[in-house]
Amino acid sequence: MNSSTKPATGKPASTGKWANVVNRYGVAMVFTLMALALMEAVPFLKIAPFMLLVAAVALSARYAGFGPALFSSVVSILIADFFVLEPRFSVAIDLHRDFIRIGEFFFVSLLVAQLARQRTRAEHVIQEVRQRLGAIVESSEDCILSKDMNGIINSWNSAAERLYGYKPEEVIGRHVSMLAPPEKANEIDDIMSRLRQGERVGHLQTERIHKNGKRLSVWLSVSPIRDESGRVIGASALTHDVTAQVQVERRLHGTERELAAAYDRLQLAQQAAQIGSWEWNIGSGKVMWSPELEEIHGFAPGTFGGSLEHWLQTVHPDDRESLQKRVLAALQQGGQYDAEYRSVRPDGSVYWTAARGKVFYDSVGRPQKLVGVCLDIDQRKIAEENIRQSEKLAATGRLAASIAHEINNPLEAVINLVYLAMHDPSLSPESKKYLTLADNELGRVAHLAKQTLGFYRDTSAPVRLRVTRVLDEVLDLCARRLESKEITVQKDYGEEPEITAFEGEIRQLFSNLITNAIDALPRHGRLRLRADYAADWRDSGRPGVRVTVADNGCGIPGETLAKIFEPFFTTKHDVGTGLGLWLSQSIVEKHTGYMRVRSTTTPGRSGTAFVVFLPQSAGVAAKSEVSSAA
Amino acid sequence: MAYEIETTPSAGITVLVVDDEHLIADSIAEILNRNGFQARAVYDARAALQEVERDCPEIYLSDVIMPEMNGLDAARIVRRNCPHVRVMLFSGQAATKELLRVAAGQGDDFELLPKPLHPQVLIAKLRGDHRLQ
Repeated sequence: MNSSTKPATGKPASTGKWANVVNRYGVAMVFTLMALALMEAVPFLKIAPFMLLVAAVALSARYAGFGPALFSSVVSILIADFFVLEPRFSVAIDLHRDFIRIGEFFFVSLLVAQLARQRTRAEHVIQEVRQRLGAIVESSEDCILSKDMNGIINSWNSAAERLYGYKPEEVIGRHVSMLAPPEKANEIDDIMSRLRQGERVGHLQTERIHKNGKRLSVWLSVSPIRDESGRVIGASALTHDVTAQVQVERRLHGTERELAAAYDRLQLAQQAAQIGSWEWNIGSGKVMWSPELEEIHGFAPGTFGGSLEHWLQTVHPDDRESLQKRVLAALQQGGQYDAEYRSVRPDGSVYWTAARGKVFYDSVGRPQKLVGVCLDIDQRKIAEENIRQSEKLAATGRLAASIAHEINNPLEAVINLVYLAMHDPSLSPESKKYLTLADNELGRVAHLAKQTLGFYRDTSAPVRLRVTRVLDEVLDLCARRLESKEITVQKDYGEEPEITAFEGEIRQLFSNLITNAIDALPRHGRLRLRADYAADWRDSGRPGVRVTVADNGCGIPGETLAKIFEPFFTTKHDVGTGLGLWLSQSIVEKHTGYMRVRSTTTPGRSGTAFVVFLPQSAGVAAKSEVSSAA
Repeated sequence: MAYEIETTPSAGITVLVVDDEHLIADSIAEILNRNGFQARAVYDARAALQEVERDCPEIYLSDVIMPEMNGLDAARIVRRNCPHVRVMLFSGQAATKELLRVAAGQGDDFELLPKPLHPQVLIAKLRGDHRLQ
C-alpha cells in the first residue's frame, strides 16, 4: 500500500446491463478491427495474419471477457477469410488448406481467451481480497499505520486519524517521529533498528502526542513487512489508546497512596490526641481495640480480651445498662452511636470516656459492624465541673447583690415599726414581751441578711473571745429544739480556749453547725461538742483552736458529702436555703482557718463530725479589711 | 397618745431624713423625734436640697440608692451648702461601699450605715455614743 487504505469510489451501479454487454463486445470488435487495420497498413504482417488476430482475441479476453473474445475470434475468422486469405474479398475458402489454419486459429484463440479469462478472474479475486483487507484495516478500532524502512509513514487508517487528529494527507510522507514526544526520539530509533533486524516490537507501553499537543498513553506493536523474497521493506504499527485506563490506574494508585497517608495521619492523630478506635463485628461478636484504646483503659498492649463482654467489664457498673441501651438504639434506629460514660481501669481508678460510632449495614440492611472512636474526657469533665462551680458562685454573687436591696429595705421598715410599737406605753406587758421577741428575731434575720447578702460588716474589731462561751450561747438559743427532740448534749471542753476573731461570725458559724446537727439527729440522739487548743493540722507551727461538732444522726452519703459546701445545695428542701455551710466555710476561710467533715452512713455507727480549726490570731487582722470590703 | 421617751437628752438636734421609701423615712423621723431629736422626713434628693437651702440641719441622714438623684450626689451638694453638716448615708446594697470609698478619695468623707440598722444603734450613732455602736 502506498496510499490511504480508504477504498476507491466505485462506478455507480446504475450502468445498464445491456450497455455493459455492448461496451464489452464493442471493445472486442475494436481490437479485431485494429488488427485488420494494422495488417492493411503493414502488408508484411499478412505473412502470418492470425498472429495479430490472436493478439486481438487475447486483448479482448483480457479486457472484455470470454464472450467478447469468442466474438472476436469469430469475427477474426470472417475477416481473415474475406480480407487476407486467397481469394481475397471473397468468402470462398480452400477447404483443405485454409480450414486447417482457421481451425488452428480458433483452437489457439479459445486457449488464449480461456487463459486471459483466468487471469482476469485471478486479478478480480486479488482486488477483492485487497479491498476486504483494506476495509478491515480501515474499520479497525485500533490505529494502524505503516511506514517504510526510513520511518516514513505510507498508510494511515481512520482509527489513526481519530487517535492522533491528523488526516492521511497530513501525515503520509512524513517521518513517524512527528507522533512521538521529543524525549521518545530514541525509542523510535530503537524500534527502527530492531525492525531492520527483522524483530517484532510487541506491547510497548509508551506515550504519543496528539495533533493538539495532548499526551496519549498507548500500547504499541510494530511488525516488519517483508517482500516476496523475505526482505524487510517496511513496518506496520498497531497502536491502542489506553489513556483512559492509565488515568484510572493513576487515580487508583493516587487514591491508594492518599489512603495510606490518611491512615498514617489518623494513627498520628490518635496517638497525639489519645483517641482510640474500635470495631465491633456484630456477626462474629469480636471487638477490636487500637493500641491507644488499650492504653486509655489501662491495658498492656494486646491484653484486651476482644469481646463485647470484655468491653462491658471496663464500663462502670452504674453506667453499663444505659450504655447497652444506647448501643441497641444505634443498631435499631439511627445508625449513630454517641455516649459519655464512666470507665474503670484494672487498677480500680474511675474516669470519664466518650465514644462515638457508626453502624455499617450489609446489602440487605442488617447491621454488620459498629465502628468508632473513644477518648478519655476525664480532664474535660473536671474542667466542666469547675466551670459549673464558678458559674454557680458568680450567679450567687449576682443574686445576692440584686436581692440585697429588696430585702434590706422592708426589713429596715419592719424593725423601725416594731421599735415604735414596742415603745408604746399603753402596751400590755404580754404584748411588749411578744414585740421584744419579734425584735430579737428581726435582729437575727437582719444579721443573716447582712452576712448572706454580702453586706456583712462586723463593725466591731476582732475581739478576744472564749470559744466555749460562744458555743454555750448558741446551745442556749437552741435549747427548745434540743429539749423537744430530747437530745443529749455531751460537752468536752479542754482549757476554755480563746481566739481573736469576729464574734458575730464565729457565733454564726457555730450556730450553723449545731443547727445542722440537731436537724440530722433523731429523737434521743447525741450531740457532742469538743473544743481545745490544737496545732494547725496543715501547718503544725500555727497554734489555734479545734472545735468539733458531732452527731450520731443518719450520716451524709458520699455523693452528697462532696456538695455540702456548695451554695444553694440543701437536703432540707422545705426549710433550708442551701447557704448555711457555704457561709460557714467562708467564715472559716476569712479567719484563715480550715474545716473538714467526716461522715458515715453505716447503720449502728452512723453520724457526722465537722472539725474546725481557727488560728489563735494570725490572719484575722489581715482579713478584716477584706471582710469589711465584702 | 403617750409615748415612752428616751431619757438621754438629744438637745433638739435637727435631722433631715431622706429615703424614697416613705415608710422608712417616716418611721425613722418618728423614732428620732420620740428620742429628743428634731427630725423631718423627705422622700427624694431634690426635696432634701430644697429643705437644706432653707435651713441647714445638724445631721443629714440619707439613703444612697434613690431614683432621679442618688443620695451621694445630693450629699455632696448638701456638704457644699452646709459645711458643718454631719452627713450619714445608709444603704442596703454592698456596692454602696465602693461608691463611698471613691467619694472618700475625692475628699468627701461620709459615714456609711448598713441597712437594716436597729433604731437603738442608729440613735447611739447620731448621739456619738460609741458604746452602743
